[in-house]
Amino acid sequence: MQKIIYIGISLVISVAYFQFLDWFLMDMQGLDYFYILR
Amino acid sequence: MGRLNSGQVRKKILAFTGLFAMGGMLVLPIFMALPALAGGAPAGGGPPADVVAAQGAEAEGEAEPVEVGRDIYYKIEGPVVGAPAPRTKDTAEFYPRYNFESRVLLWVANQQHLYYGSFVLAVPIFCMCVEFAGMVSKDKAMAKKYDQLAHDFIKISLTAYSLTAILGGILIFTFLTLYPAFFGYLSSIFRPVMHIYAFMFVAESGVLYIYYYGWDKMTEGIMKWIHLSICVVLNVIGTLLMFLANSWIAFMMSPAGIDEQGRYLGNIWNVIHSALWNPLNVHRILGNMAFGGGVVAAYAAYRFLSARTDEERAHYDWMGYIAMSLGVAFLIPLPFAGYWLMREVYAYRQQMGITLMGGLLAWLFIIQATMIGILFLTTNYYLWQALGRMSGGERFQKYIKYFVFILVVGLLVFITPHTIVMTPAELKAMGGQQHPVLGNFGVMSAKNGGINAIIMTTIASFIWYQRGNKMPAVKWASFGNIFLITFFVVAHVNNIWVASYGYFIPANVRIGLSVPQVAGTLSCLFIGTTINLIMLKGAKEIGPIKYGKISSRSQYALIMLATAFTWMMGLMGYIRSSVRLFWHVNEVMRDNSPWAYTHTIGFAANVISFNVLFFWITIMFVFWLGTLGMKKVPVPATEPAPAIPVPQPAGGK
Repeated sequence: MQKIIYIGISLVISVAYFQFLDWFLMDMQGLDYFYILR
Repeated sequence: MGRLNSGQVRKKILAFTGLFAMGGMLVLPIFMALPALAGGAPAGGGPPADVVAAQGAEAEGEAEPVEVGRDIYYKIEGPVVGAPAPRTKDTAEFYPRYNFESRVLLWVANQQHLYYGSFVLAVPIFCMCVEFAGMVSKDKAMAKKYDQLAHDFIKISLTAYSLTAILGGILIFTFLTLYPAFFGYLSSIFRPVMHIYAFMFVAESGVLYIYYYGWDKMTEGIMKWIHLSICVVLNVIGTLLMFLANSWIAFMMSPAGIDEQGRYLGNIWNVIHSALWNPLNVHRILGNMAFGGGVVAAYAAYRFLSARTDEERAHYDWMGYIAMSLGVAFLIPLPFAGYWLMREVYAYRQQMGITLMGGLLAWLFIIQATMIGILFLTTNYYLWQALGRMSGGERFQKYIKYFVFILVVGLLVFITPHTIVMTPAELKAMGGQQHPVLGNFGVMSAKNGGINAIIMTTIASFIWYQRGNKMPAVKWASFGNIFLITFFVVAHVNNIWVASYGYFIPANVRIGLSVPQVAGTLSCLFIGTTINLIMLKGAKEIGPIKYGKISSRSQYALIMLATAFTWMMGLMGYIRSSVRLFWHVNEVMRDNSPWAYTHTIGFAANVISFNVLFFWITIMFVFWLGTLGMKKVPVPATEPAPAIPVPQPAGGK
């Protein structure tokens, strides 16, 4: 059970980090990361 | 700390005086050049002083208006103080003939000088790092080992330094003899900084010799720190020298500080600081470091393979590992510096970028991609072999096959060409220029994904190696392990996602995706390595690292790494130079020699191979010379080195 909680926490942190990184660095270049949704 | 006796005090004062004198001499050329750099002094690029004086006497009393020119890059105006770029013709006056293609002669001279130049600039930087590591090491035996390693590094560099100077001389003679008009023009433009270059070169030689010959005299306390400071000074000079040399090639590719006729406009900083100067500086310094690491690692591998005692084998195995690690540390960010350079090339002249990556020279980039793949595959292979010399390293063996899978898939995507040369029948059979499935991988979106997957896997291999014989003992080890694995898996998934996303959005948005992809990989490097190192603090050691107990295959991998790097450097140098096509100085001075055409890929590859072969034959001679003066006996490994089974290939004996 503890292992599953650790995996869950790690997944949330990692996915959030990489998504933020993708969005932030595209935004810094004046580009729209969510272009496909517009 | 005890009191110093009078002798020591005298030595200390002498050392400080020497250091300040050396620093003063280094700063002197900069002060001398300040008026010219500020544009206040008689600017370089113009006629000599006596000619100016004669002209002044002739025009006494008449104040002629100063002609003003417009900078072709900075778009600012400045006084015209130089002659226009020569308009050459295909005659012996401009291009003397020597019954051989002049360009190939210059190519070989340039490349050899560059190989040695890179080597002697990189090795002192390693030396500085290793000497520093030795000085701060608390383990006396390890400190001595590091010190000897740094000494070994600089000894190799010293012989190579003489060869670099000789090759530099040969290069200048080649330029003067075969391309006098072009070389004259380039020298006239860079005249204001030529003396700085000369001073720097003399200073570099002086500092290098003081550093090397002062080794045994400066061994303890403050003197050792002064010795290390001398190495810092040495590296600053070396880097400045390289930056100055880079400004010439950057000027040839993206000229600035001149008007449309090629006339110098009196501001040398504009000439030096052209569009591609900084990207070239970054790319070259990383490239030099990776190359230098590779060559030193190959030297260590050669000494390992020819070693007769276990102590020698242990020492050179360790030396090879350190050199390889330093080299690869600079190899990892190298592709990103390359992307930046290409981006700046596109920003400067889109056509130049297309010629490089989408046109005439595009196939050379496929070869480059293959070489990059070989470098990373070889690095991983070495690290996996190196796990075999640690107790506990076998834990990771069963996962290697998954890493191999990612590396191979990444490499295959990375080397897929956009289009291939085909006969009409083949074209018809395939249904077009692109393969219906594989053709999709021949675009930047996929290629970026491929190389980032390869680099992230290499970083993971490094983390394995760091952990090889250690078991984390921190309280949160269980969470840390799971987090590290998850972080790398999500990084890979994100990499694939970004690569795929690029197919569905327009090119002007897609181009920006390479930045988060690179940042994702760098996150793995910095975050992954940092967490791992924190976890390994106070870690339980499963067993010692048995240096010397490694397969011979790993040493051949090191030699392959160095050779592949040498070949790739030659290739990239050729690509960078030939992108100017029929220009000596892009869009300013035309190359009207009979050799102003682009060679076939086969011919270029043969010349590159010749250069690589020539370099390795001569550097082997340097290595051999290095062994002649070998006095120090390697310090025996501190840890016992019992025989352990070395990992064998599947099915091998």
